[in-house]
Amino acid sequence: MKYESVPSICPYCGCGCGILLQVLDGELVGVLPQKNHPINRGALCIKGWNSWQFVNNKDRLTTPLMKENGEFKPVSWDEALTFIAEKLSKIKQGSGPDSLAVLASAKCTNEENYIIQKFTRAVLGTNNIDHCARLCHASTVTGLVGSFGSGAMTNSVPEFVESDVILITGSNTIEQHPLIGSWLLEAKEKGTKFIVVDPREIPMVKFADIYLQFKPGTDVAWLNAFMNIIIQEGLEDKKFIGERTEGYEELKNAVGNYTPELAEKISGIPKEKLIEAAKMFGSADKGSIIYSMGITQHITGTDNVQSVANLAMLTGNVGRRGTGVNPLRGQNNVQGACDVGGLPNVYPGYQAVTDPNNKKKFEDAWGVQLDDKAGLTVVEILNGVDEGKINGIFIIGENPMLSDPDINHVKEALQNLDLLVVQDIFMSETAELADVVLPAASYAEKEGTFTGTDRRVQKSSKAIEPVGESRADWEIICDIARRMGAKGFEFESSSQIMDELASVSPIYGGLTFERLGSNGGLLWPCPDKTHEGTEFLHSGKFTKGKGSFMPIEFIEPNELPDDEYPLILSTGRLMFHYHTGTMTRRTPVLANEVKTGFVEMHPDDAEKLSISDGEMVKVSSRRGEIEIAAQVTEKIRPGVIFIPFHFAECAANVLTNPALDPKSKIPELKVCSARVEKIPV
Amino acid sequence: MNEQLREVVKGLFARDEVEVVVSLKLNEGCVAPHMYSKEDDLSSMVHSPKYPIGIVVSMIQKKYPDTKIGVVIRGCDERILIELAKRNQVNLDNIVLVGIACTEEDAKDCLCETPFPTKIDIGEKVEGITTDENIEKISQMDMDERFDYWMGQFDKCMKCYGCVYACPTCICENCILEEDMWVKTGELPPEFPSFHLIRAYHSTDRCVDCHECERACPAHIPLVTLYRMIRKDVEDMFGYKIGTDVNEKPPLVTVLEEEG
Repeated sequence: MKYESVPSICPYCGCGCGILLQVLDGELVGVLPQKNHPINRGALCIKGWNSWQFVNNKDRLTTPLMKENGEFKPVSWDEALTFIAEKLSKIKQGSGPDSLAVLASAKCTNEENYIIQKFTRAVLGTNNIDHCARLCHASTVTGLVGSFGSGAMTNSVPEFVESDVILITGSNTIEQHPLIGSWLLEAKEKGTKFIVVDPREIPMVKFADIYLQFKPGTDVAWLNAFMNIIIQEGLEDKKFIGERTEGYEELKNAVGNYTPELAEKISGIPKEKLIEAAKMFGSADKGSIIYSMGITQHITGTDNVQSVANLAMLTGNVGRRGTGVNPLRGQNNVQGACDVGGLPNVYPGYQAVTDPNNKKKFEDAWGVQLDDKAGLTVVEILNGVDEGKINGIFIIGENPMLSDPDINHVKEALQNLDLLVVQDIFMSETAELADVVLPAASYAEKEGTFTGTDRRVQKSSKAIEPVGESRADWEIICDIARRMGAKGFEFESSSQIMDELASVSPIYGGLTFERLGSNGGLLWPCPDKTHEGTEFLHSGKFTKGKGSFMPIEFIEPNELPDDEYPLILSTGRLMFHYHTGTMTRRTPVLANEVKTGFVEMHPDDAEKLSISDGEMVKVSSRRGEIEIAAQVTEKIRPGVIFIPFHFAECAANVLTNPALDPKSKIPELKVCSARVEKIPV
Repeated sequence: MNEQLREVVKGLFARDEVEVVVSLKLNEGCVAPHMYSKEDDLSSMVHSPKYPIGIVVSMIQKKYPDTKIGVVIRGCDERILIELAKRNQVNLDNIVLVGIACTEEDAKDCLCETPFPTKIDIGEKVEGITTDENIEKISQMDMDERFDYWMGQFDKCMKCYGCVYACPTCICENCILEEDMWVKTGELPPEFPSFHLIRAYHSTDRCVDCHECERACPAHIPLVTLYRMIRKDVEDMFGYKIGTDVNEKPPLVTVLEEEG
């Protein structure tokens, strides 16, 4: 007879809410919110409250599976791992290390992602490692590193209540980061003003002092005009610009051409409202900017991010409490997966693989020769299959068959491999295509750390034993590494892995499991064992020294509406589901709230096509077509449609455009041209 | 107070009055409900912040109906257990209460009328709070103002169901708030007035004023104020006092029985 509450971190979004897993006699029976937690303070969203439900779902993978004549058959761990180790070695010898690629997971712990990237670099011998951060905030990392020297959210979540004005653009905060939404609602009650700039009338619009609805893909145009107005009004922070930044004259020249009239023409935002908003933000003592996928998922993603950074520097809103550039990260550990090196161009702690000093440092630490050229990114890896450059892919806890742009192409690529291994907790659409499927333990079944959106590293404890024969991801990868004859994978616990990670990654340098505890953890950078962590970045000095203004010109999206495909399609998520639905669609309450997908369209567009609310329609793009129910709503602009990407039966990503931002390689998931048609009876 | 608590619990174990004790545990900075056995080190046992311990006790008792369980309770927890007993969710015969009197600060935080259990083992009884400024403020509004006030509050709702999940006396296996017939599914904020008024109605004969719903609300909706105002009507109309007598039948149950 045993009952306990095990402190853990919610496995859904990047808020980093503290949960208590309720365990009765070794069985997971419920969740309670942690009451004294610094982020969620005793509350949770509907996903958090139900985050225990999928753990014991009957569909959990419980044994390794290998495909034989097109059918999966259960095999022993020994057989599966021996096969994988031999096959990986064979491909590596036959076509070279760079013919292999690994997708790490923003759902795995920091320790696991550290092991995954170490395995990729030190054992497979390639830097071809990436993960879904490429699809969400690659442009944030690239953009903010260029502007500030660090690619992370500058300030911490609880500081939002101290802001005077918050500019929220391309972030549906209440639905996607509900417990950050909770802080914003509190800020609102305390008098903070909100400017919401979004193509859709999202729930936050109700609380906006100024709402600017604009045409997707025109971010740089309105942001440049916004800055131009601030400069014209003399509201720029001259002292900050003079002391802390470089390149101001170039910025001033670049934005000078963007008059409110031009911005109105391009973006559709009425010039009077843009002027009013710019004056409001420019006059604030503490101005904070929140953004998310609406800014990042464009071929101009890096430009958009750097425009946001320009605005923050122009108004002196970096390096103080309640200010900053605050990209909200999607997955519970997407920040961490980036931090610990799950990217093709950096070792743990954002140390460039192309820098010979870093190469030497990691060669010494790991006792192997390493490659000094950056690897391929997510979409490039799949394109590499077409080009015959990639022969084997190892995917951990990702579902590109639903999450990546142009799914038909993804499927073609994944079917053309010599080896596809998928390690997951459920048989995802991607796992169906694999040669070998390995059952992983869920978050509740292992110990490790997750890094929330505000750089908060928190420890999650093991609540129950792994379901079936499933094993923790780090244990599986270490086992394969040892079978391939590698040294340096003899870990006995996650805590030991954290110690190694801390020794090679200065931003995590002071972290140990003991220090992290179970009540809010520590915010990086935390360089040594006595350091208390860092609430906000760039205090007194930017990470790179002086902040760099980037003069940026507006560029149209890759695909524009035309006669054939007259509408702009944008994609996103809902409050009640998460990403590819593998967990939320197996959670009764969530599945009941929203049963399948829909396409939001404006009544004007619906009327032109004689489409009524709820009617099944065909939506097509240059990549493919889907059938989906129409949801006719005034919450969206005429000429724009929106589809949530959670649902395999009407997958938005069949339609999306894989065109990439040349700087960060993020695909343009937020804008492509599409057509809606009635389905003939 | 924690030391005193541990001593009282130690005594219960020593006298074999209970097999286990449900209380709170401080673990690496995190406080959470926990079940202690006789052999366990009690030095991690603490009494604050309060958690909806009734939910935990009911869950444990369903699996172990015959085990003598000690439960560390405050005034509201005792009222919760009484309401749960009325609805066959706990068996008070197998529960030994360890009563904690709330501090003045606790009482003010909750605007609690009865911040102490029937029998106090730990702490000193403080006077209850009988005034509620929020209710007074709302009562002075005219109907249009009141409507606007509540609509403004409900507009913030994120439909997390936290008010349901955190409520120790919300016990229905199938919650009708999840049914599309009553509250259109998938909408944010949830449909007005059904979501909030159905829940308020359901709370009228079982809400013990423990504040768990309001504390679990990410939108900071003053749910306790709403429930208090509605509950007052039920108290006046039916003379029913929630959480005092296990033999007193709830009016929602008796009225339904009378109507057959």
